[in-house]
Amino acid sequence: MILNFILLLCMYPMMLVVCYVLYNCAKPQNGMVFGSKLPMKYMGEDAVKQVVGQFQKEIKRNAIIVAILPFAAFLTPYVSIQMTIWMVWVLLVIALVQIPYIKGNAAIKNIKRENGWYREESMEEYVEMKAAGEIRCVKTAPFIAPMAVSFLVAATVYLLAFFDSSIVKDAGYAKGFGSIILLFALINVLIFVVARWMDRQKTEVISTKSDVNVNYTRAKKQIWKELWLAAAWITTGYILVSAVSLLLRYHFEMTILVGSVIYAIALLIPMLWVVKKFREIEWLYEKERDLDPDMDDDRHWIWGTFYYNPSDRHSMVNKRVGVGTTMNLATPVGKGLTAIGAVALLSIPLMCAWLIFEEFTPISLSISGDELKAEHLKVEYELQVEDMKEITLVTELPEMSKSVGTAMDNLLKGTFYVYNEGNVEVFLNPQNEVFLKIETEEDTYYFGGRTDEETLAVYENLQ
Amino acid sequence: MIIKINDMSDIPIYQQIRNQIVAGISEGKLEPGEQLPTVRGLATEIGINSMTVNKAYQLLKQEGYVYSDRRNGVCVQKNFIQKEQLSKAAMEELKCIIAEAKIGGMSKETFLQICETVFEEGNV
Repeated sequence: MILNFILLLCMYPMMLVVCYVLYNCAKPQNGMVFGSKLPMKYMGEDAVKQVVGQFQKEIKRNAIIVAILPFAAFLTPYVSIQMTIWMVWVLLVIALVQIPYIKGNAAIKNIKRENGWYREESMEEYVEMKAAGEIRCVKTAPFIAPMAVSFLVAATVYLLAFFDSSIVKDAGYAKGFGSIILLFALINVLIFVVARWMDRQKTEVISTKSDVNVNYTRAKKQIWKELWLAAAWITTGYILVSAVSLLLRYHFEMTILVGSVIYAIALLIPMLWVVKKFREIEWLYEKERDLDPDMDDDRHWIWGTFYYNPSDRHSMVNKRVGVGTTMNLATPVGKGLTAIGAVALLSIPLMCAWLIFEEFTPISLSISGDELKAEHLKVEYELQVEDMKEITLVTELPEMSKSVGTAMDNLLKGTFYVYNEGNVEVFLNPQNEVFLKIETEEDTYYFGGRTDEETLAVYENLQ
Repeated sequence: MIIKINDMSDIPIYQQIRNQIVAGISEGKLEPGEQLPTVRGLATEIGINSMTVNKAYQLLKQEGYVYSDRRNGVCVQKNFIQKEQLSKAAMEELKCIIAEAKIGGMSKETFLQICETVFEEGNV
């Protein structure tokens, strides 16, 4: 249930932003409607109005569908099914909200073709000579502080845990999570790298006046800088809260859960601010635009979303709709990142299938010859009976937290941290009542069978 | 000043840059002594190799349109050599243009009128 609430709070606002941004793409902006170039004089044509009306109807309907769907996750107690619903929902949000936009884009292109509104594409690229390569808003100095604080905090937690300082309530536990916090601090480095990369974008040429182009680009880059800086400080805050809570062992799990939700919402606020600011800038500079109407580069924009232009050497270009940038899929960088994105998208259904198999395949504990075998999807553990020093029947599991592995309502599998015992290997169904604690020279194992009877049978056999 | 780069053109990119900077100077869009963008800055802006921009700047320097200054980088020449005649290359190009116009049936008056208009406007 907690998982559902967290996902709801983290992901639902994103859906609202996506719907809001796409709903607005029906309004003429930058001489475009649905990401297709259309001169202002044609915006009021009946055929165009009809497409806009149809789009608004469809997007409202689809938005209602995607708004209701995730609540289905609350109806099932199975974590894998809940996760599958959420993952499918993410894909549906992308598809259902995007489809009316793609249809709108195709319809506008059709209208342009039928009415001969297509203009000859300009093969020329405008380049602003004034301040070429000099409009840079992201400086290193402001980013050093959040990066330094986050690394310092993460490293302090790790070192305190490593040297078993008395400040740390639970050194082993803190060591595991300290390294996660240390990794988390790398997000700030990533934010800085992305900020610098985006800051290197070319000056946007919207007017014949150089000052307009320079000011327009500088204003937009300044907003991006503010966003990245805010994101860096929010991440630092999250790391700081997590670290303090971890050191003091003060409701750590709950702090991480609540903190993650607050972190996601806190990141959303500056993003919404950026959307608002960009709209203001576009509105302010709309009357200054005197170059765009001559260009019609629709053919480079697949579905008005994906940019493919082999003659453009820039890997990153401004999005047609919404705020931000997109990749030029014709460049090697664009191709590489698109391939990674495609693999990530394809991995979602595979991950869901794996989760379902994990949750619904029963575990099994058996003795074969001189070996104890723990199987679940594959043989997970094989223990030689002669290596076992002590075998105890346990009716109550100690409090444990996952280090590496799977933790579901009906399955604990992998390496877990147990207070006073350190890292132990766990393979059991926590809903059962009887478990085996096996100690060897090197490790401690907590095992359980499919049923209590199976566990007891193995225990008797081992005795 | 805004320049236009056409990737599909037969004219090499360094030549396009050179031509448009010369046009900019002629039209007064680039003032004498005005600093040009750095080689790296302009290359990043266009999305091309620095060597291409460097080649254009070298050509402009050879032709006397720009000069290098240690502190300010590449700047537009303050005083141009006043010459009352075209260079050999420009003369060859002009001969070719006139020949094309003649073949196309253009009269001398029309041709001179176009030349005058272009000369007055500073469009190249």
